[in-house]
Amino acid sequence: MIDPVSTGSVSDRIWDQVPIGIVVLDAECRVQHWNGWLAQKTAIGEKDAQGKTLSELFPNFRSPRLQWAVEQAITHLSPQVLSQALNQFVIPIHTRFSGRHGTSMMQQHVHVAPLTGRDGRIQAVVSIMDVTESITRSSALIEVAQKLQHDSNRDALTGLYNRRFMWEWLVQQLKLCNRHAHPLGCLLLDIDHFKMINDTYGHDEGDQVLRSFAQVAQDRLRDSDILVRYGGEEFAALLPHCSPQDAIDAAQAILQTVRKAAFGALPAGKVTCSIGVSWWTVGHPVTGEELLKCADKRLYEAKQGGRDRVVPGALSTV
Amino acid sequence: MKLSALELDALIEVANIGMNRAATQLSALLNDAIAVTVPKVHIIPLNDVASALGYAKDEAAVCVWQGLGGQIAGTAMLMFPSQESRSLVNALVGSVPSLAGIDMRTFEHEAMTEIGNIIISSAVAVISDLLRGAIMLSTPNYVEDNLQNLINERVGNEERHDMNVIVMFATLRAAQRDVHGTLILLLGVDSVSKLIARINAVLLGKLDD
Repeated sequence: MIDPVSTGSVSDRIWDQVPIGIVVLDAECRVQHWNGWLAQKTAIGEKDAQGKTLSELFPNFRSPRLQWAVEQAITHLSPQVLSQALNQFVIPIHTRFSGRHGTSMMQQHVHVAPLTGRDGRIQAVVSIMDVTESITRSSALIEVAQKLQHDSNRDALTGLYNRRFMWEWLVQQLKLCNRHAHPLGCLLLDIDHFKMINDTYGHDEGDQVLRSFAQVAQDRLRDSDILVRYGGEEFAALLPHCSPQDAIDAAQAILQTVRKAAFGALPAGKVTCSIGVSWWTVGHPVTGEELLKCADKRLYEAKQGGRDRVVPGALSTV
Repeated sequence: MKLSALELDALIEVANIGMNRAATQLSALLNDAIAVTVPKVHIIPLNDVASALGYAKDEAAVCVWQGLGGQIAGTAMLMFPSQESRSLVNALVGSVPSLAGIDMRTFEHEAMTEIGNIIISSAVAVISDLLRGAIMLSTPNYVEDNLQNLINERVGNEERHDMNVIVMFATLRAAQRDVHGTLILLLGVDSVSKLIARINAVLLGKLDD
């Protein structure tokens, strides 16, 4: 390390004092100069680095992007930017703090520029900025955003989507239904005699029944369907690309599975549900509100008809 | 400035070679098959740029520019409509949820700067090979503004009537989506003449200077 006060020219002293890495490479990517920052961060002194290629200094080092950038700088005098977003890092340097950004490597913003020497030979000056801290900060923000988004769309008890999400989703989905003329099925499900379950077995057991019911219904649906906690013991399932008959079949499948399933302390057969089914088709284009209102009416009919059953029907017959 | 069909073909060829080189680099960098195609090349007066590019007067554009010096002087600008640039960045870097209604990727300029830098330097390298002399490029800059302001910033009032613009419409096909960008070279009449003369020399087989 050059003494910052007493020795060397001003530019030499700046060279070793700036808080960025500067390495000068020749056309073969051999190190011509290596500044103090790099020596300190990599624990490789300038003398040891001199004349070596980056792959010799860092086994497993391979950066075709840097090689191309050096070539562009030297043969075409063309400066190059290597972003952290697309490259992460160019020189492998381990950071000494926990990697919240998912890596323990220093994240770098790199700039490569042509440098004409006194002999007229062109080399590439590579400057490396440590951007680990700002990347850590923005990935923490992104994590927060992801968590907030997840929480604001989900029901805390069952982990299912909530009504807020459902309405946003449904508005978009019905536009797609219109554009591509594909049908959409809507199921409104209600656990029979849920108040009695709660009163008899207690609220903890009631919550467990809600969670298990959500799981049972989810397992009978496709990945592309969405299941929503609609109210207390009421759930809505929306099935894109699903004909009325397929929606009725899906409702029957859920009904049968619920009948046969044990829910926590409640043996099989103790828990049943009623399901109202409605649909959007090209022949029956309805609004989201009408779709849910119709399913609600069918659900009411299922309850009136003795529960533990599926009642389907389109809007025109409401 | 009017170009002959042959001159225009040669210029399209130059643009194509440049974009193919850029595509090779982008594919390696993004670990994905990236294609950059050049459907049209025009040389037009500066005042006609906005209408040729089909940008509305106040439409925001994303621009990466690098200054050109040496054999030819001017500015190389790669422009994308704002929305296209955002969807490109989302496709390449991954989309993230908005935080309190703020799209976090709006602050992601670096990736776009690098992509612009690769495309501009690939295209300019082919031109500089053609001219057999160095074209110096400045470091890349990222700006968001409407087209008129972007150009005004790069071209002084007195130069304006003397400027020609080489417009290369390019389509970047990445991650199953097409993003339409335009590479424009703002050049003085002298620079354009020099370039066309050189193209003619090559076309006529006069490869020696």
